[in-house]
Amino acid sequence: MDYVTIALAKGRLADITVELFEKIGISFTDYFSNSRKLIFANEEEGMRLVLVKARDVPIYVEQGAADIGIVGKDTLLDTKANVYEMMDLKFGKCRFAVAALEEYTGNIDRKTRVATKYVNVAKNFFQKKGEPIEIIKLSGSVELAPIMGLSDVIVDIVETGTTLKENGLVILENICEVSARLIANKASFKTKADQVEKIIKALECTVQERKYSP
Amino acid sequence: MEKGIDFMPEGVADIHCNAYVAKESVMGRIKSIFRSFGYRQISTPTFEYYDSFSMVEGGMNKDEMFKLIDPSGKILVLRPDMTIPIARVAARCQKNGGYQKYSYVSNVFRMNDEQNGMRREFTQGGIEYLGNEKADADGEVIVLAVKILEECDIANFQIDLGHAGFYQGLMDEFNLSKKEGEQIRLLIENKNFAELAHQLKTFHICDALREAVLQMPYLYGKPEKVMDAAKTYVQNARMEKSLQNLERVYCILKDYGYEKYISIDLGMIGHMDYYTGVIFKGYIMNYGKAILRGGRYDQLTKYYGCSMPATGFGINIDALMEVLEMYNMKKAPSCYTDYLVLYKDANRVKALRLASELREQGFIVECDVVENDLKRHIGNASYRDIKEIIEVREDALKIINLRNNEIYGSTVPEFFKNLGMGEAYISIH
Repeated sequence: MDYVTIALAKGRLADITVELFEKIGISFTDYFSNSRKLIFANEEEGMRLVLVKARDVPIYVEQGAADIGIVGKDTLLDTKANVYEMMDLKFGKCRFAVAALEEYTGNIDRKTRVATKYVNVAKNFFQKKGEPIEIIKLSGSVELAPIMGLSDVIVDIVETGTTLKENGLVILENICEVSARLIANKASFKTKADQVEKIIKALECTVQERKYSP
Repeated sequence: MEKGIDFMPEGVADIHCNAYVAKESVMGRIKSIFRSFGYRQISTPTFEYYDSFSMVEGGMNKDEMFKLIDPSGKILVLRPDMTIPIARVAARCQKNGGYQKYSYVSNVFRMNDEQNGMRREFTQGGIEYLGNEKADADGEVIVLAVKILEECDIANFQIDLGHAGFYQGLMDEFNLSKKEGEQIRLLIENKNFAELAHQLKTFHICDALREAVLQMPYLYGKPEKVMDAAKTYVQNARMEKSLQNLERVYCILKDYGYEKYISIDLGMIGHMDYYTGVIFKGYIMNYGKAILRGGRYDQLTKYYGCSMPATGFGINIDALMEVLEMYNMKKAPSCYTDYLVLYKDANRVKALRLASELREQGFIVECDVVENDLKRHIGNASYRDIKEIIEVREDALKIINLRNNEIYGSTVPEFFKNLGMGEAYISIH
């Protein structure tokens, strides 16, 4: 039988997902939270789990190196992968927001400078508003940018808002809600239809149940 | 020369000898399948006017085309696709209302086609069947796609059928802006069930219609089952007709005995908006991308002044080669040479005559001037996969068989006599 390969983002999302799989009767016994291993197999079910960086999950799935992936909507929005986006898994919830220093009042004499890890999300949002911007792409600690005078505002993921508050930033606007999504390779969805569909159906039931029993 | 200079632009690749032999053999087999069904091969210019591609509504994405500017300031494009040029040719050649069947194997150029990884130039093979509106023409085109994959010994593949008219019929019930329509199309195409439901809440439509749109992405799987389920959601005559047409094409494929390869996905809307009827994509097990696509496009030739029904498909031959490599199924032998004939100036005439006689018998023969040290010749010969070295001397031939390292002397008549025997020997077994 051909393996079904599932790509997960390392970290918290992977922990939750492995737990979820356990609930539907697919366990990866050698998986534990801080393992250095990157690939886990369940021979009876013919499934493989691979751990990659969040941003690479859509790439693995789009190219068919993995059949299914679980990844945040934030990453999907920014990478624009050509995949089936099949299910909202309802966990890993947070939102995209524009934030700035409390005293920031906006400016009209030049383009707004936006620091972000999510270039496409920021571009699309401001384009829809018709506001010209200049993007400064950073890889982390984006909150620092307005403080150091590198940018006027930031576009970032906000979960509780604590990081923003601690750095003296406030939310100007919310862009959209994000949560974990199940994605599937368009070819695998056809060629491994039975196996892939079985997994999706099982996950769907579990997610429905979770909704009612928090 | 300085090292580290980038000699090659992104997205293009050299194909080396052995890989080329393999590719050519596959292309040859594909061409002979096309030929056997009466499709006649043509070729069209590598570049054409930008306008002849951009004027087609719902055709190639304009950002994907390579553009050039000619001295008069007109914009040209490297052909991004073969269907549009062939539609142009067919419209010009249409005379007596009959049909036209064309095939092609050509390189096409696309700037950033996600479906091709980062490849910007690739070889596409395909057919276009113009002037025949019958479902049997759709069937035949799909059959050729199947034949190619079968001919390449690919066992585990699937042809996914859809119908552009089914979705278009459904959209007739709406009054959507282009942007809204595009959004809905993308959500259905990407099976984004959750967001589709969310999006539909913003439209004021009746429940039956809402349900029909919501079910679109679920209408996939086994043909009979899907077509049965789809009947519930038919809203108008166009959808009804589309479904009947799809059913008919499926029945024809059954008559060919190919139903085992067929699945249906009515949520597949097609990568080009110019499709009007049955559309299809081919997938191979463990290969992440569609390897072939096609469908019916009855409105395309009217852009070139002659309206006629048409259907066709294209297969990405470079992707097919990747699949064959993945499954270790590249059949073609690698490059080799039968004989290397070595000579000194004094024996040149004799050596060249020997070489030419051998070539006439069908052997691959190379010639070179002999050096004092045969080692260099032997090294190069094994690198080039040369089977035997023949050193032509005044009185005789010295033959080195590089396969079994045998060295022996012979005269020319003797050599040819043994050659004949060798062949006889081979043909007995």
